[in-house]
Amino acid sequence: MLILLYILFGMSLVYIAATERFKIYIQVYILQGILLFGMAIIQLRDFNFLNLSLILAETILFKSIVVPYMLRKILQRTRIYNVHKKSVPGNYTVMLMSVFLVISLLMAFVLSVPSIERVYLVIAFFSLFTGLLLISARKLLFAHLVGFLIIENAVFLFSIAIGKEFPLLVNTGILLDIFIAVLIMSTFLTRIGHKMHSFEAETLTKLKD
Amino acid sequence: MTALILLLITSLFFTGILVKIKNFCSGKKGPGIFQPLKNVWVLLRKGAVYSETTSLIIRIAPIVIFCAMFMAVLLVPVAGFKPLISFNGDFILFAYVLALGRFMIIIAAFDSGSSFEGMGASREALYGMLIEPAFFILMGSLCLFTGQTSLNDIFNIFKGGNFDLVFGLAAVYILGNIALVENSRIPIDDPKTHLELTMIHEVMVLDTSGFDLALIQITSFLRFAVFGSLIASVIIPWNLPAYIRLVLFFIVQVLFSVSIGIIESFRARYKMNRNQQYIITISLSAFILFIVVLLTKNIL
Repeated sequence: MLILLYILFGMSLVYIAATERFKIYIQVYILQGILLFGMAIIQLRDFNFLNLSLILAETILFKSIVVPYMLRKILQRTRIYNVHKKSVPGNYTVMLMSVFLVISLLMAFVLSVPSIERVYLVIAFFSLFTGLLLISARKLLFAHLVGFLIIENAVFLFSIAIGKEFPLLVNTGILLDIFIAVLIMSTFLTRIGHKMHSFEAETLTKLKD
Repeated sequence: MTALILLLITSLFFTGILVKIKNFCSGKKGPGIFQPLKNVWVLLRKGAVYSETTSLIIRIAPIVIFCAMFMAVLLVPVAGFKPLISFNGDFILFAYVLALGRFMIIIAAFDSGSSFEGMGASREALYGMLIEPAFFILMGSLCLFTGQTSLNDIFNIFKGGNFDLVFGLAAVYILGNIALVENSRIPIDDPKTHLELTMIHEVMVLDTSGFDLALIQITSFLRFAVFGSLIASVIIPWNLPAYIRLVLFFIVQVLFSVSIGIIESFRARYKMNRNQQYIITISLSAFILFIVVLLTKNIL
């Protein structure tokens, strides 16, 4: 079962890198939340009830319901539905993804620790690179935001990979996850959103006090 | 021999069911299931007409294409029924006889002297080049997973192992997508389009007629059946009694044709410049499967 979740998570990363519609970004993010929920249940089942409940609530409530709701709100407010025309074309991003997959595999082997499953590391590194790719290859801030959230998923994957040895680290990771996401969302929904109608990353350079 | 007979029977009704489903979904009665066969029968009795600009290539191409596909048919296992030809590494021969067929249809299109056909041939060559890695990576993954190198053994996935179901499902997903590309169906190509500029496969056979066109159409029937059989071979456990496998095989084939019909009815075709992205995504999905197999089998 865990293997199926790994494969689906990997394919969801490929899909988010290939697609150019923001609605799909949100759907894939919801799917990733559900997959992380499944991984956490299987991987961390030895945790005490309270800890496990917090982790599961974070994945299913926060990643699959709250954050996607806020992302939808941002899309409704800005009325931007596709990536920028000047963004790197999907062909190239998908090809870059295959390179990243190889790099992730190599890094997982270089940094491998006996107590951590390598598949986790590969998928986590792959997720990290996907987030970085979204941030660097797309022009609009919304894609950067989703890229950052994908990186947070990578952090969550790292934390559940070593969760058995360091249970506290998982909770710390979750707190960081929630803090950063809320901070970004609130900034986008309340501050920048009013000032930046074009929603392009380049306009950030024109921000003034 | 049973595998060959089953595959030939399947190829007879596959396209008919697909067309029937498409008509049903669009609210039409449409022709019967065997209408494509009747069309082929009519074509078989006609002679071919050749343009003055063509050479020997366009005359021999349909026969080579048909023979290459028939060779592929001989290599394909059918849900536990052994193929006529089977040896270690036969999936490489399988891929290359399909590639030979593609090569012949491409040079035949160029030989016709039509700019439309040249355009279609160029697209076919590109998509063929992009989809082959997906097939080979998938085969490599299944070889590693099963420890076998023959098509007959590779597709015998369900042996009671821990990951059989997962890898089986992933293989079916990737094979299904490869089948859509290889058979030039939606979302890559629309066989019903009337505009030459948007055609891929159909535009390459615009100058083919009569007996030659019949051979091309029979080849496409067989190609559908081949990929349907590969999918059925993955899904159906080979340790079941033969009569159950037989029934399941036909059910899977019908479901496969129905699902393609439904996809074609409710899914839009991609823009031409998006097709490469779709095909590369299939290859990357196969690559992910390959890496997961490597890691779970502790090969590295």
